[in-house]
Amino acid sequence: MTGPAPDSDLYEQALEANRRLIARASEGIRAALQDEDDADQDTVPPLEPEPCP
Amino acid sequence: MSLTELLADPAAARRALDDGEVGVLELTRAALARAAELQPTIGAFAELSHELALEHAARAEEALRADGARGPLHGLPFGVKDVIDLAGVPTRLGTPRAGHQVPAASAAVCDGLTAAGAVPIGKTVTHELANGMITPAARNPRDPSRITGGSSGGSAAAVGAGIVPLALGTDTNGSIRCPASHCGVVGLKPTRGVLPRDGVAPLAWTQDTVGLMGPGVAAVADGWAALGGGSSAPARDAWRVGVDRATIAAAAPSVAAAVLSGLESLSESGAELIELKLPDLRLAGSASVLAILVESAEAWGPKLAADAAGFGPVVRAALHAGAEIAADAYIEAKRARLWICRRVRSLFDDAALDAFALPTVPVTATPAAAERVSFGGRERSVESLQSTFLALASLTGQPALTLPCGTDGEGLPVGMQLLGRAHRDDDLLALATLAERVIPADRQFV
Repeated sequence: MTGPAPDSDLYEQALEANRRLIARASEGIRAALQDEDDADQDTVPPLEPEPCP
Repeated sequence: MSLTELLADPAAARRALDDGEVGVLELTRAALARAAELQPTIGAFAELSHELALEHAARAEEALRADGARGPLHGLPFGVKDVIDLAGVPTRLGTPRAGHQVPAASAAVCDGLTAAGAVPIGKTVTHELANGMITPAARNPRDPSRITGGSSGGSAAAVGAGIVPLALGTDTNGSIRCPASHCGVVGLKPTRGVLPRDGVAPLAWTQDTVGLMGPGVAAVADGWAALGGGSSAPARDAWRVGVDRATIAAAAPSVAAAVLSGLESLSESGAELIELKLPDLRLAGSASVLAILVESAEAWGPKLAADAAGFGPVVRAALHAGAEIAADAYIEAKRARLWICRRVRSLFDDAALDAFALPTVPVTATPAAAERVSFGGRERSVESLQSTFLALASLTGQPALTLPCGTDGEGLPVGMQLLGRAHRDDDLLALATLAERVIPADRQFV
């Protein structure tokens, strides 16, 4: 008989899923910025970025 | 019209109130009764505030009888997502106990609506901490075996079920537009920063935005005007709308067909469709999710350290994972945001666009138990799929609105998303008014 996963299992699964997501997202962003000539690496993000466009 | 019909038709409700055919107290009691009746089925409310609602209703009734016809929201009931404070009513954020409080003051957005005579009837359920795209506690009024979407799922369900003709929500990565689309209602994420966020629990400070849902564009526009966002934009007959057909084709076939048909209707009504290519939506999604993870970990870190069990296991894990992200990864995500903003700005400026149209969510509401869904020959995560088309406007901060543009083969609503220019929310609402008039919401696509 199976029931809902205990909180500790859910926590561990979610933590690992988030870590994989973070690694994938970070890698994708890094690659995209390197690919773009005009990705201004010197730009300091504003504290409260203005909406755009 | 019956009271139930009036709750789903704010313009008719206003006329009935002004003509004295129905009283504010009567309408409020009807909304409370309908909410209670539907609670076992769709679970839209975390808390119904009978006493507070009837107090507000009595005041609105008195003002109406003393001064005659009032503004478009006067006497209409509304729901408040349970991350937004309503004085005297518990705020619980969908958590087991973290962040629970009974606020002494209401959020400014609640005060804005009550100042316009609207009547708050309670707190609508949210995905925990507004950090998720499902809202498990709520069910879809179109089919209660299916999700509402999230995180403002209770607000969307309450509007979609005809309990209230207006509801407040929040949108950090699509949390107004996603459930509005699934529940067949209109949802507006305004330009970020225009509506005040005081009295609203934070998730990610660079993206959190308060917004509105209603059964139609007019109710949302009235709510927007009442909150000081603007008034009706002048009528126009020329619109330029960007379209990326490759992006639309990435949605499930019925969703893509409904959106393309809606665009055809817009084109026939005089809008000019401009074929363009959007920036990489996956990059936008990555930059958005990293920002949310880091910023939510920062916002909730002290409470997490003090009482980890006050959060559910999935959100607790997300907060812990967010705290592990290195500073350079966060900064790169913000650089990616700036790069995407420049791309989107060029897209709008170069083509003189008023808006960009795309699907709201790639699929219609999935069964509540489903964790994965298949289309286009691929199996995907239900949760992560929801924000595919939504993260872009969350990242840029530009206004975005969803409106129904048809249904799938099972009668489940499909939403079309319109992205506007920052601080031109009134234009976006005017275009949405046209779209609502010319696009049938109930045409079926398979």
